Amino acid sequence: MPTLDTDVLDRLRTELASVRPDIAATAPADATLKHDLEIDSLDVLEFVARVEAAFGLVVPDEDWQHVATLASLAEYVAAHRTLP
Amino acid sequence: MNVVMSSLPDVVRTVTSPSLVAAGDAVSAWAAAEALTLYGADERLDALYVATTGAGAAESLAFWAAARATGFALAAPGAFPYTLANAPAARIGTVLGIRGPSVTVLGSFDDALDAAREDLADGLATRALVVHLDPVAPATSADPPATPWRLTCSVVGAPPADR
Amino acid sequence: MTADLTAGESAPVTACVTGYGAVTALGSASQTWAGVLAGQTAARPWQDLADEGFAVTTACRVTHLPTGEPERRGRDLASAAVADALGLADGALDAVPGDRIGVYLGTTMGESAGYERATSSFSVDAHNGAALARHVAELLGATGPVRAYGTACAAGNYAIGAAAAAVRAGRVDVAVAGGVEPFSRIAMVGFSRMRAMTPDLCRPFVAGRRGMQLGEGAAFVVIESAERVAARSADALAVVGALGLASDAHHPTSPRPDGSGMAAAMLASLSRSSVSPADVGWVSAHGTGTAQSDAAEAVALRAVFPDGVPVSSIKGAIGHTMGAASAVETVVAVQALAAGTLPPNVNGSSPDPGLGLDVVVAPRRADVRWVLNCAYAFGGLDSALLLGRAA
Repeated sequence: MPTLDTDVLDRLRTELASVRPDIAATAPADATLKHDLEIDSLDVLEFVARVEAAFGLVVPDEDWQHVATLASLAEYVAAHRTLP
Repeated sequence: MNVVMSSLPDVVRTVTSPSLVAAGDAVSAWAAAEALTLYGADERLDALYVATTGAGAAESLAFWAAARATGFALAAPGAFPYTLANAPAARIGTVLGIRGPSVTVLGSFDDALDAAREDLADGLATRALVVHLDPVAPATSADPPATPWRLTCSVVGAPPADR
Repeated sequence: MTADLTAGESAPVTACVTGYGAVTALGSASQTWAGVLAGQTAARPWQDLADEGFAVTTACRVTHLPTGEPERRGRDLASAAVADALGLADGALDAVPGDRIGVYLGTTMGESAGYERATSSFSVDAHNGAALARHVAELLGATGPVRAYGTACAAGNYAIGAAAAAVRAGRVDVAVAGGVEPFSRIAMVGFSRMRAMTPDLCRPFVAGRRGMQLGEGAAFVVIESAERVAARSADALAVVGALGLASDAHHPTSPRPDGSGMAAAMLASLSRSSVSPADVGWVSAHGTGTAQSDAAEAVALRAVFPDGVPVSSIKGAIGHTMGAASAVETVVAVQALAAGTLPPNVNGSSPDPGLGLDVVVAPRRADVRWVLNCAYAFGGLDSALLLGRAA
């Protein structure tokens, strides 16, 4: 398992703060956004969209289950990002 | 069917927000909070009539400007539902738990009153919250500044208590 | 509907459709009907959308009208549909004073291009749904009630339901009612970035369906009382029943999974029209092709129609025309009643059996007397409108 990129994770938390400022800093990286953290579905879409724009990638629908947690999203971003 | 209609609406109340950025969810949340304060205890409300001309307008402009900035394939979607004129009604109805008709007309407070009275007489509902909701300053240009919003509301229909 | 008359009450008035018109990506009302029956879809990719950077470039757009000014697209769609409706209604407005003509219009985005192309001189009054309603009123010389509904993807039902109620109550002699939705780039971005938009086909009620597809269009009906229709020797094409409305009070975009608001709207329309579920020969479903909405709708339909009812959606054929959708569906319902034929669930000939629905997969001859037209909107607005066969 690749080392978790803490820079990416920190930036994800910054984006998460735009929809859930209350949990952005403290949410466990391996908690699922929807079920564990109970982030509203619209907020999850907004959060992922902001991450996509920030890093220059698109998460296709078929990869949606691979970005269910902050950790898995960070891993996905690290692998697919086109922006520094 | 005989419906005892109040011939005049209950006291018409108007509340003005502090300046709200044209973020539809902020507008909707403010409107819902005001409605909850004024009518949260009125459990007999079973319908909601909202009139507006500007709800969704500034939100549409802002959403589109943001989408153009990111590029359409990377646009953020969260504000999209609030580009619709019925977004405030949806919020108000949700906090008040209104399960009957939710009607958003594009017009004046009187237009909403007319629609409510017609529908009540027709038996669609028994007690309706009627709201007019608009920005004080209408959206102009592609980047509208923050403006207060004004909400005027009243209740029409069957009386609140069981007789 | 029967009523014991007491002193001062008049006999119930029946609201009749005497004309209809539609403009969709499949063409006129009759072309739309023929295309749906043939299982055609108007969905295709668009180069301009690709050039502008849209991720999803497939949509259903009207091509048989001149392109015109982008900021007048809604008006142009409405004008064409209204003209067709008046043509069929053949003299409905003759000798009617302007203040006895009512206009009822539904839309989601209004003149969307007006917002998309806004400059420093933007005015909401030029582009919102009220502007579209005023446009129709001017076309007709109507100075009676003009009502614009911003109830999104259910707005067509709201408008037509209110128009019929106005005719029944004697507030107007003739009502022109419908919905308008010019192609909206805002909606194209919004739905696709909400991951609610299919990249290829809209397939209502099919397992693995991938979402809705955007369309554009307009549809209008002319409504008069049965008495007036008889007096001027016109033809009633259908009767309009009562509109049922309910709310989910749940979430800004997701419907209640238990379909309880949808069911309440259907039951309200049925009970207010004194029609029982067993009398409904076809349900024109909302059927957008999203995983959530179709599933909730299936639950609601099974609750209201425990013995089953034939169901199909036309959104696979013409896309989701939003504010116009339930108005186009009303026009299709009128044609279905006249033809005694239920249209198929276009792009959905293999429905998910787990939904437990009797989906019409090929045109079906039927002695259909009542059609229930269902439309549900963001914010949990639920509507159902009954249309009945003309006597």
